[in-house]
Amino acid sequence: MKSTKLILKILINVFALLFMLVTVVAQIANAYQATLNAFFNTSNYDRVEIGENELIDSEYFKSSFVNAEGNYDDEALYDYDLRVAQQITNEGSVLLWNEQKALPLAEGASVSLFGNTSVNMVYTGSGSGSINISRAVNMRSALKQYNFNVNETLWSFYDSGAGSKKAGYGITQAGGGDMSGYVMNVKEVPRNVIESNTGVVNSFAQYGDAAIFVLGRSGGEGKDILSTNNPDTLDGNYLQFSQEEIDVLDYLVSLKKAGTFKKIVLLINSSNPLQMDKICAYQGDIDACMWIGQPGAGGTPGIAKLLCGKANPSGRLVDTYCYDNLSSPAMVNFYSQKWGNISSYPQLGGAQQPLMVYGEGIYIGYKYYETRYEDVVLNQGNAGAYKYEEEVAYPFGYGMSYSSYEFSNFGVKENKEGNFEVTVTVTNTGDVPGRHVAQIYLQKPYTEYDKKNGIEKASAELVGYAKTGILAANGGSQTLKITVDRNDFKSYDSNGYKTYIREAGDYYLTVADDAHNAVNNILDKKSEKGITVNREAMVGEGDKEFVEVINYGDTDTSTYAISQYTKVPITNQFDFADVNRNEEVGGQKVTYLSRNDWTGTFPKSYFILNLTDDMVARLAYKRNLPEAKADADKYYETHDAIKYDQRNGMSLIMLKDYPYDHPDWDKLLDNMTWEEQALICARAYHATEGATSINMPDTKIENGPLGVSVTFSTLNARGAMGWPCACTRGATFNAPLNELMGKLFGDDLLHSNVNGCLGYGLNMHRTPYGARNFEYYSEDSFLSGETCKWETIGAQSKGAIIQVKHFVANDFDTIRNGTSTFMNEQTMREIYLSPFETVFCEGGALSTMVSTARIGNEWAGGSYNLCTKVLRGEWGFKGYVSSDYTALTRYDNNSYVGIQAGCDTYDAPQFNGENQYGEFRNNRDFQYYLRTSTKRICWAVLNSNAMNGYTSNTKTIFVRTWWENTLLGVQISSGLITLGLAGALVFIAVKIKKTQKEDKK
Amino acid sequence: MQTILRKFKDFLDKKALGFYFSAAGAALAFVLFIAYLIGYAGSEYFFWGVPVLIALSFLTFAGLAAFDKTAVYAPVALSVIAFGALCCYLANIHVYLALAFTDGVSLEAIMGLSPAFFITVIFSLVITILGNIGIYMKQNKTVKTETSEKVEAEGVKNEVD
Repeated sequence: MKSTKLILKILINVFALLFMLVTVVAQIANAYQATLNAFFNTSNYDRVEIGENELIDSEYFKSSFVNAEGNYDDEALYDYDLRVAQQITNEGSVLLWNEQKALPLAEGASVSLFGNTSVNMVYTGSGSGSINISRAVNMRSALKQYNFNVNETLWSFYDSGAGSKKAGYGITQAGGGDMSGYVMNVKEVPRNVIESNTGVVNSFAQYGDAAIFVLGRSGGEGKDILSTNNPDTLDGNYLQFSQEEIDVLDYLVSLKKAGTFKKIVLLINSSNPLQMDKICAYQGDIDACMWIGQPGAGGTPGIAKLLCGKANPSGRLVDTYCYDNLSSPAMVNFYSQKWGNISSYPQLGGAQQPLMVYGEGIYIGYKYYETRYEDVVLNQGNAGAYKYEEEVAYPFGYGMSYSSYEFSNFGVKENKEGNFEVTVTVTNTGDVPGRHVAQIYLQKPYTEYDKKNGIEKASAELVGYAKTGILAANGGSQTLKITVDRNDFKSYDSNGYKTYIREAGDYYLTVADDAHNAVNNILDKKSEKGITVNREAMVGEGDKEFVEVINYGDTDTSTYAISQYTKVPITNQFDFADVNRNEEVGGQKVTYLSRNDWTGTFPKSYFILNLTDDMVARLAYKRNLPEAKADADKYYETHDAIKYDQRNGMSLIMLKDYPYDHPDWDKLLDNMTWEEQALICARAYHATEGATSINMPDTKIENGPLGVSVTFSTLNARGAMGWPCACTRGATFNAPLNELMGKLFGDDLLHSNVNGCLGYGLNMHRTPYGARNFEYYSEDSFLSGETCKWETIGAQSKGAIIQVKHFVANDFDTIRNGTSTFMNEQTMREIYLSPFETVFCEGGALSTMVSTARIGNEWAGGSYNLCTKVLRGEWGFKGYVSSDYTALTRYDNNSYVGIQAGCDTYDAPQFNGENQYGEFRNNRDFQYYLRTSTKRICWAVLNSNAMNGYTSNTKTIFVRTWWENTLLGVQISSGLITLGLAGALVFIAVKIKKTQKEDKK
Repeated sequence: MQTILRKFKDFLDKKALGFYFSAAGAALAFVLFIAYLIGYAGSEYFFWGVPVLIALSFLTFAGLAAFDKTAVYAPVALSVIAFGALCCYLANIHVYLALAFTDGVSLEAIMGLSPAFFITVIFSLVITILGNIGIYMKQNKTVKTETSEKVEAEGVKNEVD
């Protein structure tokens, strides 16, 4: 009896504690419903058919990979993905030098792969842009595919032997994780470790056709790359060699001199431009050098194909490669720092402390290096002791080939729309077939008006490009036609007319091989026109034959002052982000870099500003926006009070193919309940919520920009393609290839049952040290916008919701949350907004993710001017805006200010309608904001593959997931068991007492 | 004063090892109560239910342990109420954790958590465990009185008979 009692006591204890624990877990799980749904791949919505299937094909977006039974053929898709991924690395890898035609290597060459990275390649970066690399093709397999003989002894040495990861070597790669907690080590295997391994050394002779050294650098979300203080690299500069890498290269050079290796080939496996001073010092000793970016899970065979000559390199650099990366003016104001007087405002939390002034203005990348170069040659702008040849190793757009090409028949013709049709014939003059890129650059006049009003003009801006097909050797040619938009001739005048203007003067259009070549062409033309050009100061030659001068006699201040998309007048919207125009900064001024005085305006130290009370007030996330209220008032002038739950029979699918402003949208929205609208606009954690009242399904919108990597990688069972990094895709300069990749990306989403993507990444390579440069395309706005546009068009043709990110000024990662970014409006519009404009207005992207940073002192998502006036007003964007990942209190109830400003929903697992909007339930203005945002989300869902299978007979129903049922079951059963056991215990206790009493008697 | 001390000594003399385990838990609960109030004073993460339950755990323990008849329930109350306090704490602190791990779970982020968090969680668990140990151990020593010895002796005799 006593032992039974003891057992009962133990069980009661266990089940009572279990009951309490599960009760709490259920409560927390409910708060994180969206997270758990993402984790378990579950949904709270299901669909049922309530009638006969209508005789329409409701598969609105179809996969191109379906088997004979009509099911998705995942393997066929993956196989084709692989081919295209290889084509991308094939066309996106850039040959930097090739001494004595060292490449391609001979068929069947025997090669030795050096460097720990050769076996642990940097296939991708880390964080939300990471991809599934479980099926990645390694370098050895890739080389073998192309009949190379690979030194297996050396491979094993790096893979599992004394030079392996296990032995402590390799560079830090965080995988799917955030980089902020990592030290980015570069632990190359030292030369003496290689030399002490006799078996390895003895193997070299047999595989001596080439020593291929793979130099890797990583990067990822959460922490920008260090330009100083890295523990392993020279000068603490992560993008510089480590001493061990230099030692190994010296060793290879000595082995080459000794005749062990015939050639040395260097492959640069990095998305961030490495500092080239020490690398270039090896030119000659290293016979060939190729930048291969990050090849993704399937791209390495494309590199092997180039090495063996079965393909010819045609990639072009997306960034300027410098001898000294720190020479970029943007580096001075890159790593965010605290406000000068932050200690005077102790009430501000840590997340609100940093600031960053984009003091370099428009001069990032080649726009700085090439413009200052031109001013040196033209002896203007106080260019100082700037020597281009000591600054730039490889210019933007540069890339070699195994062949040679010539341009001819260059012509420019204005068409009836006012755009310019550029034609140029490209001829292959070499003995190897290959592709070639024609790049069109524009130089706008830099006028006295510009100098007076602070307008900056780069000496060359990419405004068009096209790639040939494979041109036959020895004379194969193709004539390319490239349209240059007249809008590319405009400039933003933030101080004078406060709008876009096209100034009077000479505009130079040229076709070139790279940005530097373009400036040289223009200089040659200027010389012909009588402008004094110091040819001695020129680096390289130009050819005036490839330049067309277009002269405008008058300055046009009206044509471009009206939005071409919405006809809305364009004027300054970001004065609050320009220190020199923001009245709240209390008279503080900064000097932006100007080509009018390079030496005098070059940023010398970090711009530390002081906060004022007005600025602190603007830092607050919870504010009322009068402009938004005015919109609400305007709405109610023509509309009655907003209705809910009207049950009028409207379903979302009924509006398919209806325009955005069709009156039936109002009927649809009337059907929804307040709770549905509030939930949809509160929570979009890797998803959007469904709505049963209008039969709208929920969606899954997953990471990321480089391939479908479902939030929790364990669920990525289908193994969708991990695509090469954005830089490599941009480096192809091949729009049709970008579009094809986009389509396959869309098929990947369809096959993974995912409806959209938290990408592509469209921030800029403002410096070489950006944490997520691998997610972003380039230092050039035009190339970024165009590449992303074609990928978006491709993916959305498959019904994907492309959520372009991070809108805007998220060009850094260290303390990105809440950093106040400042820049003048010309910089904002021409450099940072313009790629987004291209993708929204020409690519039709259905969604965007706002930055966690601030524009001026306003959170990007709380900026009415950004999210409504520019995005919707000027650009006519119809999709929805989501926040970046948001924990509950990060923005101090930001959803209130956000929904007013035009940030429609939140990537926030814990948000729900009640906790975000409950207090505004009966607020008339708020109801308007909620309805407007709901419509935008519905619009995106309606135009996505989430509607596949939906007809007017399809109903959306709410269901409980298995994990919710499980928790409820455990909760109820543990409670009942506890009660039952307690009852049993009482029963036994009573019985014992009774027995004792009877015994006593 | 001496009387009180003597009574307290007598009280302790009656107590078995189980009581001391539970009492250690109750003492820890008192420390946690003070630590919580200091650690979360003025914080947005202060939840009144937590200190109330912690205080209730050691006060109830003291009240029940004071009497022989109810002493057996003292560790039960301590354990259950302390665990309830932990549950209440977790039910509210998840927001703080979500914020702390916004950029992913890393050693740096874990090390960055406030000491008050670690103290509350660890102390609550230890109190629950100590209380639990007490549940299965005797709280009071068995006092063998003369009468009972006689009865037992007679009983033995009877059995022999």
